[in-house]
Amino acid sequence: MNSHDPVSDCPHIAQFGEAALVLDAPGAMDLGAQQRIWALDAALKEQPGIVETGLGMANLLVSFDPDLWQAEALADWLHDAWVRLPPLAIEGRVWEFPVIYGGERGPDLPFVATHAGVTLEEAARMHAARDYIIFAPSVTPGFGYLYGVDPALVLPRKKVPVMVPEPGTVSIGGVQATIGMTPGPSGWYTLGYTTRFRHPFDPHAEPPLQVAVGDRIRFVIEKVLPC
Amino acid sequence: MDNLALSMGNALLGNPDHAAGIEVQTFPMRLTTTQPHLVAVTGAASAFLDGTPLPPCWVMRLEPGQDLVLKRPTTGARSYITVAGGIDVPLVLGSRASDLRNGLGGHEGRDLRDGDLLPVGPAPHSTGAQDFGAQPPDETLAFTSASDFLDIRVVPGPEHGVFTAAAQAAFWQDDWLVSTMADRMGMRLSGEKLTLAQPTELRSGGILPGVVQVPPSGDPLIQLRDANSAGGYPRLGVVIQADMWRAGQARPGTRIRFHRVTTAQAIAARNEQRDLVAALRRDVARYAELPGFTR
Amino acid sequence: MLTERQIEELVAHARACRVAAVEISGDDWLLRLEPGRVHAAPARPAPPEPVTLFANGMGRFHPAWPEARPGEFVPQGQAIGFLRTGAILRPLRALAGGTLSALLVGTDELVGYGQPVATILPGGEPHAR
Repeated sequence: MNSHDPVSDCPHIAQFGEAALVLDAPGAMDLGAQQRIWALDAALKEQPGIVETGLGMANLLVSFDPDLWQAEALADWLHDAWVRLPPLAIEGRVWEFPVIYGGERGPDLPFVATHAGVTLEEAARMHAARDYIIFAPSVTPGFGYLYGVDPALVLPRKKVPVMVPEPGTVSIGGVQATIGMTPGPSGWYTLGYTTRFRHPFDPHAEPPLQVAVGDRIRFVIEKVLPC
Repeated sequence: MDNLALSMGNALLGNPDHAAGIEVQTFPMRLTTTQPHLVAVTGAASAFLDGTPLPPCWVMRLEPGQDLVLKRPTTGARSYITVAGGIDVPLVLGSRASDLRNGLGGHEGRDLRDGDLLPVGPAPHSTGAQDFGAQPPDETLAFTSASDFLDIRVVPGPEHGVFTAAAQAAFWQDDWLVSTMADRMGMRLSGEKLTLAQPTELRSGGILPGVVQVPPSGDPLIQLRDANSAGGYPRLGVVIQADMWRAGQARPGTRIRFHRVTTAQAIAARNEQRDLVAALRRDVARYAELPGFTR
Repeated sequence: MLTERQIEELVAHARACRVAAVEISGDDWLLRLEPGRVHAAPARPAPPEPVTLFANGMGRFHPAWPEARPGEFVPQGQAIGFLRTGAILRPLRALAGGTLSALLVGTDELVGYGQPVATILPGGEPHAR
């Protein structure tokens, strides 16, 4: 990515109601783009009149106080900061999760392996070979949006969501990975489950969320079961 | 949901704006007290004190032995009970609000039940006034709803342009019915199916209460107070902040009409509403203890 | 000319003597006194006196629709209207239950201290709505 080409490096900024803007990074969603989103987010936390920010995947929602900011002035500030700020590389902690792949709790492993043209063991190795980075917080308190799925394992989401009952389920959807927090329907592909699931959120702990944006989730193969 | 009703209740009582109150959406609801308290009922009009109907947006002194009953309102969905001193539940993550989805905050992280006893904080300095009130906001705000519609002002959202011209026209011109899928998180509307001009893949990103999203089903969904914090559906519009209280009073079967406004109009409406609450707060101190009528 | 006092003394005397009636007449008039007659006679109810409510402050009048229209029964303590000062409403409450007979001021009319605002005929029953 050429970060000094003023045309291709221009973020897309849109009004989100009367008191918020949303900024989308140009180009592909990757770690480089997300580090620039993180840099912007950190700089905005120092600005008066910014009510809150919402980190997304290569995008950022910025809520402002209309008494202190005009939308046009804030958009100019964001454009300028986008070009000016160096990417923010967060050296997060690494969290390891042993995973039992396949079997009854990993029913989509064969489909994903077939799609990639590999065996079940190789698919599990490809999934476990990469660290997944917490790009942004998720809707319910948990491990957040995890980025970094091997391109060979990237699949469009299922058309019809399937019920995923247990917490601790390890699944992928597009370029994202996740560890299931609450039972519910999901269009993602379930590869297995972690034997060391612990909920990272406790409202009475300090900090309430054990994991943070920039942390890395590492999966370790404990076993690969036939399906 | 009706944030204006909660603000007006706190203003009538001299509470800080962030004091906690009780949102009532299941009727009838009966409230008694172990100590005398100054209590306000705002939002949908439904209150009876010992059987006598109270005017909307009203402050009374509730004594032990007296009954405050909220009956099902004829219009609107939610009434608000505020108490001088506020409902003093503990702060969780900086808030006294109830997060029912995660079982956090409020009273034990759950809905109130029969027999719950709620703590009340120390009352603010009072003029001693009681038995007074304010005009309901739909009588005093410049923009009002027609009687059989809910009129809501919306600014176009980030993905307004990716919808077909027919979908855009339908959104702004048609009536929309609030479906039974309506709660504190959001409400799904039924009407014309809204379609995109071409398939659009959105990256998941932050969203706010008020956003009008259109999932693949084509039925618009308005995120309300307990909105998701992120989502990936195209955002057709955003309800202006000044009309979120109206949306919070919609119940299934309500017909909604959307009115397209600019962000400047939205900010003017927000300021008007803020001024209304500020004037109420000021005038409580000035006029509430004046005598009313005599024989 | 008989004073009220003299008439009362005459009635008391007639009652003491167990006289059923006393008649005093002139050329073209007759005064008849019947002690005890009032209790025996079928009571003809006196029409109730309307009670007037007066403003005890200044403000703009707002009727409390729809609970209190003229002709409607209003229970004791119910607000029939408000005085608005700034953003604040103070109630005009029915001091006795009765039928709201008239509102004497219009909506949003500026009302002064002591001004009559409404009349209520006491008594009556709430009719079913």
